[in-house]
Amino acid sequence: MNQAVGRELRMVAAFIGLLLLLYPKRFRLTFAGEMRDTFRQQYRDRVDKHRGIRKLATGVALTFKTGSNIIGSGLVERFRCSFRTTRGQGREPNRQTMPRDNVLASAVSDLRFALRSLRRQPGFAAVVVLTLAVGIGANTTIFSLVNGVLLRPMPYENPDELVRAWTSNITRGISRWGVSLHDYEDWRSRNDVFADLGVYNVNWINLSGLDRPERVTYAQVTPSFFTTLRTSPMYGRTFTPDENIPGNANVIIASYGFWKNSLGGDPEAVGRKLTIDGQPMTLVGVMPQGFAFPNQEVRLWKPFGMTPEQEGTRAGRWVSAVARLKPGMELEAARASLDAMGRLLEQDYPGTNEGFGIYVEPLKAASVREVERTLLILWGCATFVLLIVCANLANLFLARATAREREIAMRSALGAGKSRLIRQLIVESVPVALLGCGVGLSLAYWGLVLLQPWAAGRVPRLHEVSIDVTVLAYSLLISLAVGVLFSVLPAYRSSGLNLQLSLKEGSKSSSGRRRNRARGGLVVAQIALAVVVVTGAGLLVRSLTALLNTDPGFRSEHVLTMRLAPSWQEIPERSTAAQVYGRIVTDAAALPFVRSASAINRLPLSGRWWSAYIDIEGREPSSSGREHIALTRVVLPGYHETMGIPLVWGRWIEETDGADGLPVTVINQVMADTYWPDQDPIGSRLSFGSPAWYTIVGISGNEQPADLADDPFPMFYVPFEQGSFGHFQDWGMSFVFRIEGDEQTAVTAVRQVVAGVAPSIPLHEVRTLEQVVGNDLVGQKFNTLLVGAFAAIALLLAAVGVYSVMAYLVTQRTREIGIRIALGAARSSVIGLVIGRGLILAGGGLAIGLAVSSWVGRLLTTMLYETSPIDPLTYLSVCAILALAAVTACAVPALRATRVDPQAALRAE
Amino acid sequence: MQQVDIQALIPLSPTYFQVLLALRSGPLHGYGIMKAVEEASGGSVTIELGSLYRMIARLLSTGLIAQAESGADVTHAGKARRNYRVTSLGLEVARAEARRLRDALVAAGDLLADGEAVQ
Repeated sequence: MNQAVGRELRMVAAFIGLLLLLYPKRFRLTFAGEMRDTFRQQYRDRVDKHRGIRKLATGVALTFKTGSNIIGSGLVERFRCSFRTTRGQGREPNRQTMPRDNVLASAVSDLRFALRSLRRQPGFAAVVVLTLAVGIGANTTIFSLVNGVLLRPMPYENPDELVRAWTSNITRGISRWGVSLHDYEDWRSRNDVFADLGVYNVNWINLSGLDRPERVTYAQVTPSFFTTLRTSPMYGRTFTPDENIPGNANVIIASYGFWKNSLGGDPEAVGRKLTIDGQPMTLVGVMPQGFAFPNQEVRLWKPFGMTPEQEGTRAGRWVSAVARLKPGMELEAARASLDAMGRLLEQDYPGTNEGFGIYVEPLKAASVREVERTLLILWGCATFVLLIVCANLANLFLARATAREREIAMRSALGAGKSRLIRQLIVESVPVALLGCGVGLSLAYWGLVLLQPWAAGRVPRLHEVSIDVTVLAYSLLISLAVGVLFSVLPAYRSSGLNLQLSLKEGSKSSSGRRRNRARGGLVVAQIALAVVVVTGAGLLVRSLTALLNTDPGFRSEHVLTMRLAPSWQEIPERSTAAQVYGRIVTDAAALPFVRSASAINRLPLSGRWWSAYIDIEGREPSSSGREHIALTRVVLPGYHETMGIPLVWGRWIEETDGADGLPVTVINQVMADTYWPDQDPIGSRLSFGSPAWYTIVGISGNEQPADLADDPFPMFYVPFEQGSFGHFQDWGMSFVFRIEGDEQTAVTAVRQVVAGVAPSIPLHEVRTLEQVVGNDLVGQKFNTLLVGAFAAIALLLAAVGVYSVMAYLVTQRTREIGIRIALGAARSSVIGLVIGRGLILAGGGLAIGLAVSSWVGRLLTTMLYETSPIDPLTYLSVCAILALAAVTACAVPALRATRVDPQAALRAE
Repeated sequence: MQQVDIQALIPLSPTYFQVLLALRSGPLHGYGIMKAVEEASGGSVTIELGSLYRMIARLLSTGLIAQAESGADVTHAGKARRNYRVTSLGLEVARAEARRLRDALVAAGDLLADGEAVQ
């Protein structure tokens, strides 16, 4: 036999063999081999006699025909599962074991019938498709996020080997603290578990040499950073070990985005020179698209290249670490070994490392930890909405099944077996399910587009989120499952009815009553599910309101902020920087619409930067277990007044507190209460790191260093000329200007002032203080909005469910209502009948829903601020909303009930 | 052996009838049945692979056909190819169906023109 034919036949036969898996096991065991053999015979017989194109066409046609036939008959055979080899046992065969028709042909005719009947009832089809699309769309959107962020492996070689490493201190309850560069060296040389280890730090630099100066996020890295991650650059190379030596470190690597946008995607970009913080740097490599470590904002990588002074002491734990475990190394074993190493280091460096150890966590877990819970909660909400959709569909099809009772009964009388009927129902629902899936997918696409602005910066790995094959398969699967299951089940249950009874006119068969109860039950379930989602939304709204009402500690209206951060290379002397800043403040304050101006090194709500161990004069120095921690802030005079932070006691920092003056500091209320609970702190002295002792001269109100939801933290302010400026190698200060009048003019004028004083230093982060506050709340606002959207959809769907059941009820009981009206019942009593029934259903759903909410609400605690998961006000509001929705949904059917003409009702049926 | 009510199986599906007819001349294997049915009906009745074996399963379970002794034929995998033969019950059923069809034709009477009628 011809080689090519042999190969082709083998391929096709394998494919057919795969399809045979659709048959039930017993059938396969008996016939699969024989079927494969028969197919081979058929193939050789029919295809081999042709040549070339004819042969290809015949082969394809045969494969296709056989394949579809196998799919059809395999599925039906599996569904029926009634195959039995009764060897020699003549069981009386009834009609159902002798189908009279070809399965595929009947399926096709079913499909044609289905499409025809759907076209005849476009309203029904549209409602089903839209309802399904909403559920699928919501679910697919969130699942895309869950898939891209939580499920997909990270885009590195052997991603399971990668871990994040931190310094830990169990006694202080710290599991993730920064790493010091000295500790890094020791870890690298003394460990037994890492194939490689690299450290990095994210920072900002001023970039010039392009169209205009830019402020760019970059990462300082060791050369081992790239060898740990093992991603090859697209162009050029990564850093060599000797490029980490100070003096050799004038090299950078660009991200794909930076190369594309700022370097014009130039394939010859390697070797170009860029000026960073006034220093010339050479580009040596470009990373490929999709490489975004440590985060998406980083656009350049640069070696640390630091002198020992710049690196700091062993106690300066300010960098982050990523490592690759040796192949086959288990996490637990690694942790044990690193604990041992940590103890050795404690012995070698008791002054700095006592109590400190090493903690490693898989990279993926570390990256997604913060959003994991939120995403899963959102997925839960979307699933609830889908479940409500399921109930709605079941209701819709149940109603339809009732209407088609007679048709089904007739078919059954004419000999259609149960399986045949079910097959028909399945075939009918598949096109609707597929349509619903299609529309749902387009909704999901737009959903992702809408979510982008919120998610950027907040959701890690966002660039890996897309509607990929997994997501498509997921949505197709749930569409088919929901669409087919919830259309077949109701009809299936009703197909077991007494044929004769249902063929009689106007009969209320017992299955009809069973169906009514099923519908009622479905509605109660819908309402319960909706209640849970609405309660969740309500709790988030309460939480958001509480956050909005939290006092941030300053007056945020009419304050402009902007940041300047000249590096130590651009301005080597602190006094020069002080002069520049002083001039900016004076010139700006001279403007007519600027009431006051000042600056601070870190704005409130930016994070717990610059925490330090402080020593208080006359007390035991900070030590393990008894440390005094506070946040340092460096300010220009007039900061607190500009920000509207009240002075509690003493005085503010003034112009006279300069480089030659007495070192002074102002502490905040929380710090005073914490460390001087019974005394007046004014006059006491403290030190932090440097040898100088600072005298406390004033107590200020508390401003929020980090999120609004956080508790205030001890903080103290030192004058610019007396403060220290740590590792960031710049004099970065955020300026604040209290203005009146138009914001835009103020911004332009202030920019001009700054440009006049310091033209080469870029100005960035120009925002109002209100925007700063608002930005902090964006996450919470978005969660509330999204869950609120789900709640609104859930409520709407549940209301539709209530409406449809009530409408059906009225139709069913038209006769009874007619009699009542004929006997003199008032309109209001009829309305009361309908609404009463509706409220009973709603009440049932409400009770169940609230019970579930109180249990599920605990999961939301991390997202709530000053709101209990069983907040009574929220629960009461939910009751009111649900009752209102139920009454509204019942309104139309109730009104229709009152318009029943008693004569017509009695005559009909 | 329990008595199978032949009348309960009538009217027989046309394809089943063709299969039983194909087997009356002697045992055949799966593909043989496919070919015989196609030839006998002049190409108008074709049975696809999946449907064929479901039918074989049904016919086996109701005792209308049975497995015959294997011939010398060998499959691609080297195993003996399975043959099927019609049982006496199967022939009875086929006969009953043929009678039914004949009666139906007789009832149709002069519907068919002279040349079309069965001789």
